[in-house]
Amino acid sequence: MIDFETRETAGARSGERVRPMAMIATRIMPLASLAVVSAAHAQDSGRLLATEGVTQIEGAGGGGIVPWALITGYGTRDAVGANVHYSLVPLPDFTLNSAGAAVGLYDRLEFSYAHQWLDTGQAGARLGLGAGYQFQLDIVGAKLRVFGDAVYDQDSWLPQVAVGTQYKSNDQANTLHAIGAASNHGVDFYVAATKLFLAQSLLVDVTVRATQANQFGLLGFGGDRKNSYSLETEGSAAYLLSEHVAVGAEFRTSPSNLSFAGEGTAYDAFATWFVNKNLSATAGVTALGSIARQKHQTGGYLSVQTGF
Amino acid sequence: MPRSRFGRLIRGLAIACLTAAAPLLAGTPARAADTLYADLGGAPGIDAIVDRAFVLILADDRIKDDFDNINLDRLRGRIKSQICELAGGPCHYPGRPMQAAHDGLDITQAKFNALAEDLRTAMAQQAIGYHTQNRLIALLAPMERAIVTK
Repeated sequence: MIDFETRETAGARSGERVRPMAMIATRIMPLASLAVVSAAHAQDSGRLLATEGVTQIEGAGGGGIVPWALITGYGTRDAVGANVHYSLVPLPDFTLNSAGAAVGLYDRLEFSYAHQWLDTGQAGARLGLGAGYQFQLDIVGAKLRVFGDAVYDQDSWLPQVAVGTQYKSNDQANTLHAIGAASNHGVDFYVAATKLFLAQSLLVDVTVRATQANQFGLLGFGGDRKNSYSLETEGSAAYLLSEHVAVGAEFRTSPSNLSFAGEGTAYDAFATWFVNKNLSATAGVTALGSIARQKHQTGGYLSVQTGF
Repeated sequence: MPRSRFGRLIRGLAIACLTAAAPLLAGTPARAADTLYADLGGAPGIDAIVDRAFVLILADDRIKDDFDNINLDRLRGRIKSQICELAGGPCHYPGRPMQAAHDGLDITQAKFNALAEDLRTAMAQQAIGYHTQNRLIALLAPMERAIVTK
């Protein structure tokens, strides 16, 4: 067992714990002001209900764990949309939180910020990190719709395709090095293809991601086993039960870069209630497999989002 | 339930949902096209939907002004035959192609979608189920490329 005690800086332990909400507030503010300023010029909430999807755990427009090709917000090609989200993933040994904001510009370009904090609870004590030890992750994302329209192209099989990137920075550099991660920050690149089969009331997404992240970046980037990019596959299918309710399922494969902790494929199943264009709520279950040697991390998924 | 079994259950559920999507896609389109006209209630059903939709459109602040100076009776008739034809009914749309018919009208995506929302509401008010509504909207959606010029 790695002895974290000797390698860990005193800072993270001794009362100067970072307060997530304060951190989020300072980082979301610029994005939120951008949204408000843009909205004053061009806000139409002109897209059809549910066609923005929701905000995935890393802050991008998508499903629960998979970014989609859809641009977040309800702005059409003439307008901007924006939203804020909070998501909670309670697991047997951990609690993952995500809060953030995103803007969609002219149904073409998306910028997002999310702050994640993983509370290790009692697992932190077992790992020698201290009970309640937290890993915090800042994620800045950008996405560009390249071609296709998921909603209007109902007469062809052509999906809406977008390219995206997510820059992630983890605050626990010392601990990450101790467990064998090569870096505390990294950049993911992805291509997402999303198609709404409206006559079948079905939405399908396939996303391919180049990543070095361990456990979405919560355990750093690269590792002693592999320290280069891996191509990973992600997929979502969602069925529209009614104008306001969609149910779906997703998977997402991961590299296994650390000999300290193996990693498998993540799954989720969810139901989203699109109350109106300003509010949606998602509840689901998620199976993340083994995280930091703690097996069978199967738990809930709750997310709420508000915007226009 | 032990954690490991619950995890396998979620994984199984996710995989089942994801694989169920494929036959759903492969199986429905042909059948759907055959029966949409009937599912909309035939000619009387479509007439009622379009009449109802126009009541909503002309009360919709987002788009009502776009219908000033338009012969509404003729437009209603054309939209009825167009929907009837698209849905597989025994009709022929007599009007101009969509692009020519909307040339210079400066219709935005937001207005196009507003009309789709009103049409959906009209269908719901005529007791047309959500999934049938989607089948009709799926046939109309590609017209966005010809109609939205602004």
